[in-house]
Amino acid sequence: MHVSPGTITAALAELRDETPGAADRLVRLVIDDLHRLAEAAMRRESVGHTLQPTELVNEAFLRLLGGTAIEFSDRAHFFAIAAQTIRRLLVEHARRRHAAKRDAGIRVVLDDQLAANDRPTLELIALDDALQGLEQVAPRPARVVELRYFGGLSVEETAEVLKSSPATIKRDWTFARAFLLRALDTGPTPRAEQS
Amino acid sequence: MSRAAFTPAQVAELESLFDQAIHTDPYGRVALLEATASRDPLLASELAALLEMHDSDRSLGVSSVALALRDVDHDGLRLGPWAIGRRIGAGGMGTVHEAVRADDQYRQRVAVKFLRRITDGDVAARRFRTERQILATLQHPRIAALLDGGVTPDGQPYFVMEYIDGVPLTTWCDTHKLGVAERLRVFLDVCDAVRAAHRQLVVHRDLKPGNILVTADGNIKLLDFGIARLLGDHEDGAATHTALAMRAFTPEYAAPEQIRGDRASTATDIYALGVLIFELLTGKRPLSLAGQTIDAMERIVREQDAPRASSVIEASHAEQLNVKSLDRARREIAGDLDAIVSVALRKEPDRRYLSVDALMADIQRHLDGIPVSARPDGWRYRVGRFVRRRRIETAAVLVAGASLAGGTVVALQQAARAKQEAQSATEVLAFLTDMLGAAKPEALGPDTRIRDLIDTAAYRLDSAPPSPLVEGDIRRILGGTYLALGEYAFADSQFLRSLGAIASNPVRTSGTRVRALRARVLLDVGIARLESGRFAEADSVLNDVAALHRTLEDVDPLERSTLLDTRAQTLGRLGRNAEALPIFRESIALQTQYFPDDAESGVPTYVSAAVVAGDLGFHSTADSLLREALALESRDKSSNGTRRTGILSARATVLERLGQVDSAEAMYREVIALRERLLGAGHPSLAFTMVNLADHLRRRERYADAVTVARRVVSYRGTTLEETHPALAAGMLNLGLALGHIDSAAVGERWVREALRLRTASLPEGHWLLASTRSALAEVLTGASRYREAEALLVPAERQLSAELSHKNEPVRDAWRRLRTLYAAWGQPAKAAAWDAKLSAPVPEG
Repeated sequence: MHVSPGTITAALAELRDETPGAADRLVRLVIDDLHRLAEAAMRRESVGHTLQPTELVNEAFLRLLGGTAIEFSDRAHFFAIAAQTIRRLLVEHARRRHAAKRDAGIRVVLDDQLAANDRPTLELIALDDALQGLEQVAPRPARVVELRYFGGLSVEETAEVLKSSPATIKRDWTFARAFLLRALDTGPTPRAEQS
Repeated sequence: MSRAAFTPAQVAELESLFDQAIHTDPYGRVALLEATASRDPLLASELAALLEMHDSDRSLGVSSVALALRDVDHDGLRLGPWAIGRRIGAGGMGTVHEAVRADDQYRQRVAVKFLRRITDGDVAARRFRTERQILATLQHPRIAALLDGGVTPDGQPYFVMEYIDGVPLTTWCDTHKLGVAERLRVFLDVCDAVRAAHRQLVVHRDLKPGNILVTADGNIKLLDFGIARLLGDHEDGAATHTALAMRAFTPEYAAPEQIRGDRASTATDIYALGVLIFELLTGKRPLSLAGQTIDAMERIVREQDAPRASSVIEASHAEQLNVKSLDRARREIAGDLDAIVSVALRKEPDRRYLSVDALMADIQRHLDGIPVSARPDGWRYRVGRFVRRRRIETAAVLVAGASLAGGTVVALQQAARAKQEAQSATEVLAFLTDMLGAAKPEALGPDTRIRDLIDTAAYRLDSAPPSPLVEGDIRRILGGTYLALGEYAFADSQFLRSLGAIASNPVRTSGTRVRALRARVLLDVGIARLESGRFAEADSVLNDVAALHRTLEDVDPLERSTLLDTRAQTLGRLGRNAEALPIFRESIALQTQYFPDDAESGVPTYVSAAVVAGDLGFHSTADSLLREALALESRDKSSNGTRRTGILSARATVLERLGQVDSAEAMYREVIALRERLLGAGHPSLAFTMVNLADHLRRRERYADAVTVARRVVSYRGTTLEETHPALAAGMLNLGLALGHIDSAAVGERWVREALRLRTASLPEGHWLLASTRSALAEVLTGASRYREAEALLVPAERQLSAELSHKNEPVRDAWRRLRTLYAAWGQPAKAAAWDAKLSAPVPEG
């Protein structure tokens, strides 16, 4: 079922007007396309090839709104919603996959082939864990990472969406990045887990 | 992990301190840390750790997430005149950002692609610069221009390219529901761009829908030309298979040589173009690699043959092609397009189209309705069959400098189209048969007769045989060619040797391929048997072929319809007409579906079906089948009249049966004249028509004329007509019957007995033709007043004929007539009257 650009721009307008529930509506509009794109990409996902969220989001944008004249602000909001949605989709998929492997009693070992297969999944889970940790203590910087990492939003766009200034966003980003890198460094890394 | 201990307020403070720290000099930092440590040691140590993360270039191994986190930072960066903006994509190669020109006269929007950092310093950097310069000179309206490039302060190479806001080509075609022809035209545009790049010696190496974008106003732009090459050169290119995942190409679009790690060439791009048409036409990719391990992927790409596009397409995509039904979609793609795709997708680079030009030319030919040069691997069968059906005119073929010395390169001057040089004897012979098959008298030069050519080929093959399956295939074609020349014995010899070669093939080859080839040869053998009059053998062989077909998944429709035709004809000759007609209908249905305008295969089917229908007494059915044949024939622009004669000949017989005798005779004579002109006087094909004419004349009691014609047929005995040839016996029969009227009964009897002898030798006992021949013999005996002998033959003959054939059929009615004549002459008027009554009874039309 193809959603028309008009429907989406209308939903974006509602979001702009801060109509309650507009965000949810938008999510529901884009989630199917994103889901489909993600599935297709996951099916094509060759070993070791990491799924790139920003590519999916970009393609979704082109599919749903390609050729439509759209304002900077609306565009930014679209990508923001898409970023959130794609994060949810990809992380859910990754966690399910990882859980399935564990439940099946497969030892997650650092074996060549298996590791290559699993690494992107594990990294994504680790990122999500770290991001959730950050959200608890510094919500806005976490949101900045979510938007920029998963949605590829620029500093300006992020500022627009979070109703802040580029300078603040930059500050948040620099900090959050260091924070996350540290978390990924000392946190659970793909090592032999005894299950 | 101690961070759980920090409160949001503490983290906020941490952020603030962090911000301060990174904006002061190292001394300031130290001071800050010390000040913090005196208040809150844990916070200070955390701050120190964060600063270390910020400063260091460590990439945490190959954590792509970490890499991405660092890469995202390009945003806001200034690179020369370019202000980097949001990230729009990331791939195996690096990330892509939007950017605008900061010195803002006209805010040109571009895409900036960052590659992985160069790790091995100066040499790579210099090479990178040189290549970049080459790419910058690549100018084409359909290639996204390379505008700028360089290396960031951090050592990351980057390109600045024209920004293309578009969707992948496949998406575009589907959204706009472009039909097959339109997609092909769009594809030609893409090829045009690739061709331009190849002229400048730039190979793309990563052609795929994602790199071929279409803008909102329908302009096509190709991205990333040559960048894969640049990347390949400056990476630490380990050629181990684990590097596959890191390589800059898409597995399903990658050519076998790319997977192996060999140098990419223009042929590599052509392979990718092949995958692209496949995907445009079917919505799928030829090889499915999802979820496979690296090893499996490599094996699949290198070894697994791509299926035919027409067999892969599904109903959902037929919609995208704006076509009403799946069948129509299949038909549009089957044939030429299947062939073109399969040539482009060949595993060996030098067997593909040699240039994008060649590929474009073939597609254009298809669009123009001209025969394409591409041949899928099954085409040899079709050509061989073509040759046979054609009944090669004794026209001459000029082949300059042809040499078949086992496997060396052969150049053939006569080729008007640019064909690639033959690599093997099979290619050469296929090429030759292609030339022969496609020969139009006016296109050929003088001398070298076909027969000599084929004999030479056979001889050379004996002295330098290629590999078993190849030899098997060549001998099959040779056999087919001999068959077309009417040389049944030579044909048989080649077929036998073909089977022998196939059988001697080492077991490694796929069973399917061997079975398919065997089926083809046996089908030819069956055809040979049929045409030489050995019907029972033909039936048995063809049953074997049918069994083999059942074990093969994917039988070429043309091959299948040939099998059906041949079986039906054989059954017809064996007198099992009722079984034959439905098989003909099946063949007609198949042909109407797959090649509705193919007169080459369609006409013989219609004609044979008409003959069988006629034998069953369904004369109107026969006539309508023949009229369909004529209609099909007239749609074929390349016909030279040979086929037409076949139809007319059959039609003459039908007209005769329907009682239109004068038209029938005129038609017979026309056909004979035509065939003589086309085939030469002694050709077996001519004999059938002449027999029909003789029969026709005899029935009209023009015995002298009948004798003249019949004598000619019989005169070919031992030269072009072998003993077992049906036309021979039929000729003798007519000759005998006619002579019985104008000469003496004894002379006539001799000929008819001879005919009976020949037929008894070649037909199974109980065949209705034997009964019919005995009935004819009875006629002559009646003329000699040997009534008792005549009756002894005639009564059982009539019984059998009227049991097996319908009462509308000539042989039955002939028998009744002869019985009437017999009893009348014998002086038994009552019996004569009884048979007369039967003759006079109204005949229902069928």
